[in-house]
Amino acid sequence: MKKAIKLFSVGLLSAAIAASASVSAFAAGLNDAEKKILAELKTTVTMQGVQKSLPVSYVNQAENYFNTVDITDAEATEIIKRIEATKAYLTSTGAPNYNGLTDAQIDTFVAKCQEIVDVIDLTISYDKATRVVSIVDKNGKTVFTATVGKGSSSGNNNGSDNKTDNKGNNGSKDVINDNPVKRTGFDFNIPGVVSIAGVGILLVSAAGVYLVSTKKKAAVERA
Amino acid sequence: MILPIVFCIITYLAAAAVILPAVSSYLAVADMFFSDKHQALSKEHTNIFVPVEDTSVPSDSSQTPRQDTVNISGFTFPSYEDQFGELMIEDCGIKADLFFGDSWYALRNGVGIYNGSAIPGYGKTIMIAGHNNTYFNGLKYAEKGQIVRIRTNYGNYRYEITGIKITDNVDSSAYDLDADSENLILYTCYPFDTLGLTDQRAFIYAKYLSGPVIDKNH
Repeated sequence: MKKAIKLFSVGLLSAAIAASASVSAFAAGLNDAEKKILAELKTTVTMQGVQKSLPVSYVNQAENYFNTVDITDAEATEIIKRIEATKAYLTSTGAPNYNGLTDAQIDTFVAKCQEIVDVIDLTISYDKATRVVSIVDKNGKTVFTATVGKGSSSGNNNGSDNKTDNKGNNGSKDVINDNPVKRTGFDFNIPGVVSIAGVGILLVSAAGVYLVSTKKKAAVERA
Repeated sequence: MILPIVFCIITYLAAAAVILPAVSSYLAVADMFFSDKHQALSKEHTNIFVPVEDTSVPSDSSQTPRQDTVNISGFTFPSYEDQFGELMIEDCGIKADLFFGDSWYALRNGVGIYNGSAIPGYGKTIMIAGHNNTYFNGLKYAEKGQIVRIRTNYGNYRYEITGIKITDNVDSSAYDLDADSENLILYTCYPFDTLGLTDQRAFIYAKYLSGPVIDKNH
């Protein structure tokens, strides 16, 4: 009986190890379902009669995420269906691009994007003030982040649609403006600096007081 | 004798207690301009960087560098804010931990690959950001011909600096994230020793020399 239990335990353990190994093996690289979604993301959407694309950095972010997970054919089919619906909505707004959407239209657009990522248990958050959009997985891990439209991640984008693309053309061909360049300037904590400076002044003052009192004492003793 | 010191401490604390609440709102506003958005400092990241044997530099100088391949299923693909390597430019005195993603947290602790670009060996543009006052301050010494070395959890890479461009931070002609060949872009705020945030960036361009090409099908 003991032997049987032992064998059963070993078998169970082996199966668990094999299962975990197979998950990591499948997760690596892009499967056909993920390739179909990426192909869909690279298609254009018509806005005011002009073909607009998703920024390539957005597609790259999706590709990088797909390299860490496995998406099934059924999920891909549903995602593509919802992407098509979202594209149809964008066309129907009559706006020239994302910046042309009204607040209500942006709300609807974000809701539709949430419907897309719902399929794979992701959650979108969008801050209208900073225009930062983030997508996190069920564990709270970021899988996508961008600052859309006028506000750039550097905080000082002029918000113009008339940016120069890497082919030297003026005017964005993207649905949404994207600036992947981050703030890389001097970053410090002002209260921390003030506190450290205060402590420094305190120590210097204390040393000064000590020096003066020592000198006075010595002078009194000499007198 | 101890009295003056105690007096100083009490005066300082009293002054701080009175003044700090009054100026804290102004400090917060100043902080907004001069500091990146605050996040939890106690946050911990995942470190998947385990150095692998360096095969990118031949032991015999007559040999050409080996350009192996590495199967994508053979290593852990980094997730956002994972530390998965390190970047070194010896001529510039740069050595920094490499993160996937260029978040505030990543740039606080090292340099970060924009997750809308690619990882080394993927055959696309790799775009790496770093602060000009910390890890990428040494980029002020960057010159053509210098070697950038990147070590990751799946292979070691070498790139050669080919050019430097100073431009506005919204100049999208400074990078091509749609490139179909491996190339490296490092950037930081310019001027390099300026305090505070600037509109300009220094972009350092480098071409691929060696390192395992990622086989995306296996």
